[in-house]
Amino acid sequence: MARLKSILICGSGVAAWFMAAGLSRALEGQGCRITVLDDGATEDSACLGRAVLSLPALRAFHGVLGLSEDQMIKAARVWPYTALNMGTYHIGIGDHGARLNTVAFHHFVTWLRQGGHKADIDTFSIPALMASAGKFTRPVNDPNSVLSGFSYGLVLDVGRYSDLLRTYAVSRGVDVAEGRLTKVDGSGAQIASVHRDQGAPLAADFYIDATGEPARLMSAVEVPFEVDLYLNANRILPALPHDTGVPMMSAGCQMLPVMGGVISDEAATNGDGRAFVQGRRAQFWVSNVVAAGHAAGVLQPFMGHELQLLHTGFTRLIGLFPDDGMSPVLAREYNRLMTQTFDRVRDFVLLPQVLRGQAEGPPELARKISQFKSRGRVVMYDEESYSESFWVSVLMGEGVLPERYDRIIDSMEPERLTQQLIKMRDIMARAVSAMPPLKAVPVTSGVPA
Amino acid sequence: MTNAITDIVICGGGTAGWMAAAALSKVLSRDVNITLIESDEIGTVGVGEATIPPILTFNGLLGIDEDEFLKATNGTFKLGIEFVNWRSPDHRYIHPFGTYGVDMQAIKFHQFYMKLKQMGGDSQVLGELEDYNVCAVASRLNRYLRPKPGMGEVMAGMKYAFHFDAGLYARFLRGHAEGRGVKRIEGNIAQVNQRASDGFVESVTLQGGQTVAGQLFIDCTGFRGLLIEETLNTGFEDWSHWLPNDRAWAVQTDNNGPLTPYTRATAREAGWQWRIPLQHRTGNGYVFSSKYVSEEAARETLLSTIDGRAITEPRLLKFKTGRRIKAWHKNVVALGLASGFLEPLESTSIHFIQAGITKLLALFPTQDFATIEEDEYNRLTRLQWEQVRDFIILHYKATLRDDTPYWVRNRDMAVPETLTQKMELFAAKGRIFRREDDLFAEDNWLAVMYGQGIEPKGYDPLVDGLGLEDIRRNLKNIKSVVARTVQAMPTQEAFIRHACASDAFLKSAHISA
Repeated sequence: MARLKSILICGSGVAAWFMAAGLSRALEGQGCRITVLDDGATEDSACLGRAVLSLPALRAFHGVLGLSEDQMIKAARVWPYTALNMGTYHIGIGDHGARLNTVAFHHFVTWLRQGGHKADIDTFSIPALMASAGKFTRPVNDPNSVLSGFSYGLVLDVGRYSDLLRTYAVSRGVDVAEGRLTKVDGSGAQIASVHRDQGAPLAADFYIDATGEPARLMSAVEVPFEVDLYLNANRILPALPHDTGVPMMSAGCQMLPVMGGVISDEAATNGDGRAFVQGRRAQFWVSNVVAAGHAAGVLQPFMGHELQLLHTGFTRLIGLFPDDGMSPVLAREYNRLMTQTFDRVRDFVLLPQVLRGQAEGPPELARKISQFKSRGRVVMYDEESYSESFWVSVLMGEGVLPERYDRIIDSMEPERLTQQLIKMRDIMARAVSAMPPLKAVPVTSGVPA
Repeated sequence: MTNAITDIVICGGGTAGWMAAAALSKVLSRDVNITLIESDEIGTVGVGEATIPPILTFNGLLGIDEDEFLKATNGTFKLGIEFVNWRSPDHRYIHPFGTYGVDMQAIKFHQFYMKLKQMGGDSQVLGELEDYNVCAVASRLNRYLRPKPGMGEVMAGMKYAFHFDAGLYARFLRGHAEGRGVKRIEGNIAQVNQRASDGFVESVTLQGGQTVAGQLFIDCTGFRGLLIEETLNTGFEDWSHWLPNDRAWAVQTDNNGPLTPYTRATAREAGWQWRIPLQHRTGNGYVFSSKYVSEEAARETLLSTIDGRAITEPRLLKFKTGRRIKAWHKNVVALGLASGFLEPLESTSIHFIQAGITKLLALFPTQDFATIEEDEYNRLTRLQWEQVRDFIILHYKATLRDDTPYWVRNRDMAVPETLTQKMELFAAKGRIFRREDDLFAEDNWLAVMYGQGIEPKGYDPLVDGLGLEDIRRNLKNIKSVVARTVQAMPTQEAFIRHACASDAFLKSAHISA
């Protein structure tokens, strides 16, 4: 068994160049030739809108690549955000309040509310407060500071981000093949070669399908697309004009001003937007081809899952990197992990819709909701991409108040506890009001790793 | 909170009963009455005298001082388990706690080791995989030092657990629990009384006629499961087709030789033998399948292979491997043996009790007992049991032994698909992917899969991105730092004498000053 000598990435846009950039770094010094063949697509291969959100974890990817946030802010028309505005509440990137006596903070909100207090969980979230006040500062490392428990993501212009990754990949020796993809030779269960409108067909040891929704390589090896049974929006609306600001999802039509939105056929008035189908491939890796971006699956824009799924897929591929023996064990494990990852992300995208009665949910999500309703417990499954605080924000934001709070609270002195919580809220409010406005984010400054 | 549980009855003392009493009385409000019913007549089984590192969390929750606890329970330190004769007769390996080496460029350490090993070359210089694990090296030299922050990277990778006298541990916890108001009633339960409308347990009647009522009952009555099974007929999932051991002989011996900071599990012709050293004596036992060896022959094997002098009569225990289908049913939660049995090959018995208590607290019910809590408790419990079950089966499945019908059977058995996938992934390139709530982490699976003789055919191709000389230098450096770190540790005996010696330890004759 020998190392892979060549990888052909078919496609363009964010999915293709994300994989090209990542592989060129991870396979450094291994003599593996990486080529990208454009498929001539008009839509981006991973993002539905013109802008896309990143989550903090993506910084690790940029860190490995050696891309600094400053470089990105300059080159990719990027600005930071700390929360997604959902209309009546925010999904902040970071903790709510602080744990007291090991009890998760949202139990205290439940306790306050049951005691007749008005307690809005957003007012205990630094990132949510920052977003609603239009403020920004970077988190600090001191765990005792009220400014340590949050993080931020970036709002990225899709075209510029793709160009940035492309420039990076090409500078590290990734080849760009001339011509456009015309036909895929999939003999039985594996890809033999890829034809183009000029030049000889291209063959490689391993292929990455980044051709977006048509998934031309996955289709050639006959991997079916499974339509998602729960997400019912099927038209994409164009992005509204936007300026730097907090990404927002309006309550009515699942609309994100900076990213475009989606709508279902029934709700569309005059055939707005273009049709799309939400769902995923039955498998993500078959034989010698792996799908990335929309070729792997399509979900409506929400809070950064596009890049998160690309990143997780890339990390898993590296963790299971094959040799030319192409052991089926690797693909099986990859598919197990990515299927779970995808479905748990789907659950998160679906959550607000289920809570608003606009959609049904799968049993896993039903369990999550009922456990939270009953006692504020957040069930976390294998391969979750969104941590507890994201789920709590949406659940409480959409009006789910747990019937019970953690019993440990009953052993605390109520008067003192109430004072403590009020003080915590005041400290947070003061800390945020002292921050500079988001517009004043210094483009060049020390960015925490 | 309205509708809150105000009365909890724990049926059965022993390790499970007193762990539950101590934890519940610590965490729940003082208004909750906790009663524990136990009989001095019923002996406790006490097979689970070795533990795994999460026990530190449990003791931490209770606010227990570690040295005080070790002194009270004749406890010793445990850095791992030595498996003798498992891969093949006369082979031995250690499954240590803690990590192997140091990962580089986000690639697991063992991948670098595998590459160098597969390349051949000077095996003396490379050494064994164990040489890169501080717990394994310390075990070989009978050393121990309690890791503290600031002791450096090698010590930060060190984890430990304990061996202790489970009977003394129960007594120690009883002190804590009673101090916080837990009421103990001495007596035998003669009858369990159910509510006519829905079969919930209302009360238990003792032999003397006294009736103890409550809203939540914790069944710690051992294998029989007086409430969960004999009363509620919850059902049992039998796993003996994978794990056919059904008997154990247990015997105590006096200490003989240096105090080893690890449990030893020695494979025998039809099972395996444990050796658990405490400060004042050593616990031994032979877990076997009565289909493959007679009780009498097993007893002989045990008595002829123990190191020290037997100080008790061998005691026979009978069990069936499997789990209670619902560890929580109606208003009864089963802990310990009442919830199922998995042989203590990886010292998980006490951990299952601890995990059950933790889950119960996280899902603590109210008097209306929503099924949503019961369902979630049972789902999480099942996941954990199945994951540990797979890990135990691995020890039998991955073996080169074919010297007795028992071992041939183990090697040839069909195992759960989840385990097959794990073994294949490792056999190909040494890859291990941990499931999120798996009790055993990547390094645990590595230790046992590799120790049992699954030799990866390749290594992670990404390793080739690092220069060979850099890899060699790094490994050499790590190995020497580990060796030097261990050399600087005291022996376990010296550490115990200094920190937590029991009266029995100080009196015992074999210790030379």
